[in-house]
Amino acid sequence: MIQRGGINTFVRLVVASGLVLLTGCEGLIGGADGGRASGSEVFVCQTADAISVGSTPVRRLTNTEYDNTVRALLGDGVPPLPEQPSDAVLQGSFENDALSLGPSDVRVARYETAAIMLGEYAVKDAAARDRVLPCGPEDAECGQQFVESFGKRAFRRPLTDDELDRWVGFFELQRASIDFEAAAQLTIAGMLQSPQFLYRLEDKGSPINGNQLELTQHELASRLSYFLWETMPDDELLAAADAGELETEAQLESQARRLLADDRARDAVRNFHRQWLYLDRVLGEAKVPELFPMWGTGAADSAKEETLLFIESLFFDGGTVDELFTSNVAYVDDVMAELYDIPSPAEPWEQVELDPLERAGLLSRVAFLAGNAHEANGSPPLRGVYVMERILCEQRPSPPANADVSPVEADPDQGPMTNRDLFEKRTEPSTCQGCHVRIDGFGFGFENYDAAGRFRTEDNGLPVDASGYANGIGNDAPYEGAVELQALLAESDVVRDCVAKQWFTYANGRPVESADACQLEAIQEAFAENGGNLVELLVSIVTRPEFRLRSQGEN
Amino acid sequence: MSRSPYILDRRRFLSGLGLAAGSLCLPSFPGRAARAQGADPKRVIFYITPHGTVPGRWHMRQPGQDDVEYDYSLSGLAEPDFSDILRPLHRHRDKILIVDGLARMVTLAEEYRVNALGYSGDINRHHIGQAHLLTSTWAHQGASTARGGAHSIDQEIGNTIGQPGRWNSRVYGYNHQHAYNYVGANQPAPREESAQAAFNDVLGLAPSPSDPSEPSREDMIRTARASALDMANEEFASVLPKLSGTDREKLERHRALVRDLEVGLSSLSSVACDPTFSGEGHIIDQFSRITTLAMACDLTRVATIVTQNIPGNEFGLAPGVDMHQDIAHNSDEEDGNTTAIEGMVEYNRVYAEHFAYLLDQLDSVQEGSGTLLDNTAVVWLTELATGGHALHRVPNVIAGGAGGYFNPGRYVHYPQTVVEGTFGRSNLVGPPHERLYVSLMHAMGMTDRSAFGLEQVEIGDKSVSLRDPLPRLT
Repeated sequence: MIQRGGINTFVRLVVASGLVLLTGCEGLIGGADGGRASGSEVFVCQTADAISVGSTPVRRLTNTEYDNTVRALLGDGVPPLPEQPSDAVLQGSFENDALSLGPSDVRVARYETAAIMLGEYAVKDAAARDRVLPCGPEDAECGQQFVESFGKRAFRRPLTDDELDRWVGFFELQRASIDFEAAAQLTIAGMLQSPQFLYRLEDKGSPINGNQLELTQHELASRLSYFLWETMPDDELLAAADAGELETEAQLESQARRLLADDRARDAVRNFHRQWLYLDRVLGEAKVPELFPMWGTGAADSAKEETLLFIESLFFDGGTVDELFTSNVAYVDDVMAELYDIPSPAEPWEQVELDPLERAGLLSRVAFLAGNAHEANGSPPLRGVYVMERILCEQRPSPPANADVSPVEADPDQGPMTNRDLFEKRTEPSTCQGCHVRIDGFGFGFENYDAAGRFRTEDNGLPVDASGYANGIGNDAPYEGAVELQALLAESDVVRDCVAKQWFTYANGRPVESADACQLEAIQEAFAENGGNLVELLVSIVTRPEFRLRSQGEN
Repeated sequence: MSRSPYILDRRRFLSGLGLAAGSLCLPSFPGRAARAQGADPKRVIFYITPHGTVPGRWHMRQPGQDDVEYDYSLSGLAEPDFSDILRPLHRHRDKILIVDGLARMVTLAEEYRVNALGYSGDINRHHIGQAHLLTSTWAHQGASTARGGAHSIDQEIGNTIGQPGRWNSRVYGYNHQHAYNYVGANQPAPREESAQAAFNDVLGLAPSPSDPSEPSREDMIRTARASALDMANEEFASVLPKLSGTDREKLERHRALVRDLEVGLSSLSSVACDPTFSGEGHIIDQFSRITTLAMACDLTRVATIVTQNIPGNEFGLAPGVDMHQDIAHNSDEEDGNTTAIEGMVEYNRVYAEHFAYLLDQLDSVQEGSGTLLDNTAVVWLTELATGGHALHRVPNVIAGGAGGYFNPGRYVHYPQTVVEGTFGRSNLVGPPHERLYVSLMHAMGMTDRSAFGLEQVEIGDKSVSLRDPLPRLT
């Protein structure tokens, strides 16, 4: 029987029933697989020093990468473009997962529309023309120069002789039949629809052994810039590739550090965390207005921004993985100040320190707490599953088909009950406990926060019980409240390894594969040795030998 | 309406289709006569509603005949003879097939694989039901959820019977949770939620009139757009030999779409149309009108309408009642509650009314000696069979004749047999629902196909073939 009973209840539960029931829960998702990677497998490195590169599927530019890249090519003033269908995201993966980055009729038609609009924009006035045209209509050689210079930036590498001939031929044909500017416009439009622009093709390079090839310098430059910036290489990086200056580990590291010091890296890091931490989830959250009058327009946006600002500043300020779970620094506007029960800032997004007994780490912030809650109260299962999926990198099964996933409702005849009481009652059957003993061991730790993420010590007139048991994090232990839970997560090897795995997945645009085992382990070890420094994690991914390789053959 | 970035899309379509300003706003469809050989094209529309039905209030079976395959004519039935849920379709009784007894075999098989054979994967029946409905193949299983594991039947048919310069297929409406329509594994097909945008995509503003004998600079640039596409097309061709597997498949598909667009830009066909848009009425009905228009104008031959999950207060339930938890999950006729059962009956009846409205629209367009409806197969599919997640006796209706392939005006019943379930349960199942798509492909002229998606599945010790068209429909 499960009763509200504090830490001991959890310890007893885990010990008494946990082993058997947990196996049942895992059994549902484990076992023989039909050969399709589901992202949950744990691969073990057999030969620690082996250099082995997994599959390297061709990646289309994501919508974000496309937008960033056309701005880099043509300037920030480009007109609003037709909205593309969203990049399909399988829950748990990233928008840049190659599997999902395919074409469709709508997408191809809108690329065409956008390419024509962008071509038109590129020649619309002298300032715009100066950006793309190195010469003018009076110059007979201008077609050649333009195709060479714009083509190199659009394709992110010098054009081959064949390509040069074909595109110059096209330019001259349009110049003869319409005029110089139309020729430039149409050439740009054509190039922006080429696979060389729309996809990141790594199809050159030289074989080194087996089915492994070393990337060309330009392919490597794009890998670097799309990973750290989500956009094309800048002139300096292209020049380094031209000069063959991405050969050594030191050269690559120095370029990586240069890129990481740029604002474009801040945008990319924010975008990674938005996806990894499901920060868009809070945007769709409505709260009961009578209970949460401050949850009007803008609160959800503010909550998302608050977490992003926290992560961004920590990340680029030499922050470490444990600080993600322990820092009480925050940047707040009025509505966030109200939710955190602190005075309004003089200016929006002023840096403050939150009460360290109530708030420390990203899991005691509104974006997570309100984003994983119902309209009237928090949801321990949603919050617990989030910790396991996002922070521990575990794959969780969906609730059984007939599970009731609605908000719990009190029965007036039963007397007052807390949110926790109601959830404990619902998941009491042993068939539920197989999974819920662990889920709730995390989820109940957040009971000090209501549906909007406000701190509370009482729920429905009764004292809050926020005790739980963190199971499966390596340093398993009972705890009291989210600050203690996060202190455990901050020390957990499982959490640190998970963060590295998330970045690795994002860098490669696909789930981890067995061939990645040694590389991922090495990155995880380096991350540990660097004290969990987040910027250093990215540098260590980039400076791995595998970062310069691709595999050939079937994907 | 303000000028949106889509304006160029519309122009492209209109110029591609030869819809110059002079041919707009005609009262009827004179272009129809110009169609090659005069044969009206066949079309298919999928109409998908969430959850499922209340079987006892949906079916119109003959008593004591559950073990028998049979059909009977609907034409002599009076309105009260129709079931509570299907009654709104009574006025179309001569043009519908009520298909009773099919089973979602792929979904049962995937569930069996996971529960009994130890495969990993999400088996929430909503998720796999949605992933399988139009794809008929194993779901793409990723972290904690399942999605379509390959392209769906609407894409298969659209890509086969589609016309250059037109859309191969359209998807309108909503996700019930995940997508139903896929262009590939885990790649949902583009879907339009706004009726106005859906309209803009198929029809819209005309390009400014111009004199073809003296093309303006703008006209010349517009004409040259096909050449710019051709340059891109050639680059796809030169990249493809270096790729293999999924990469090659993906870029080949991209190249084919580029080529289609190029053809569309340079071809001048003679279809003429009467494009009007009205944002009035229920959103489902708006999509039904746009679908009718797009099909009447032959701008697409395949469409899917994923209906809005209608909130209960649209048909008399208290505001805030959760259709999923409060109604669907409690609508089992044996152990549910009356409020939920009656709510679910009403919910399904409302969808039947909207379905009947779609048929009204299609039936009002004359084509040859019949109507657009006669040349179309309109298939009503549901996410699951019941609010309690059943997968057998799915409530299907096929309306229209698909140009003479189907023989409508009948109730078709298939008997049930037992297959092994999981956790010691067994399932009563009829023929595979997946075979319905083989019938549809045959109806659309794709008679060389014997299966779509998986061809066979194993459930327990039973091997179930998913091949060949269903009996009794033609």
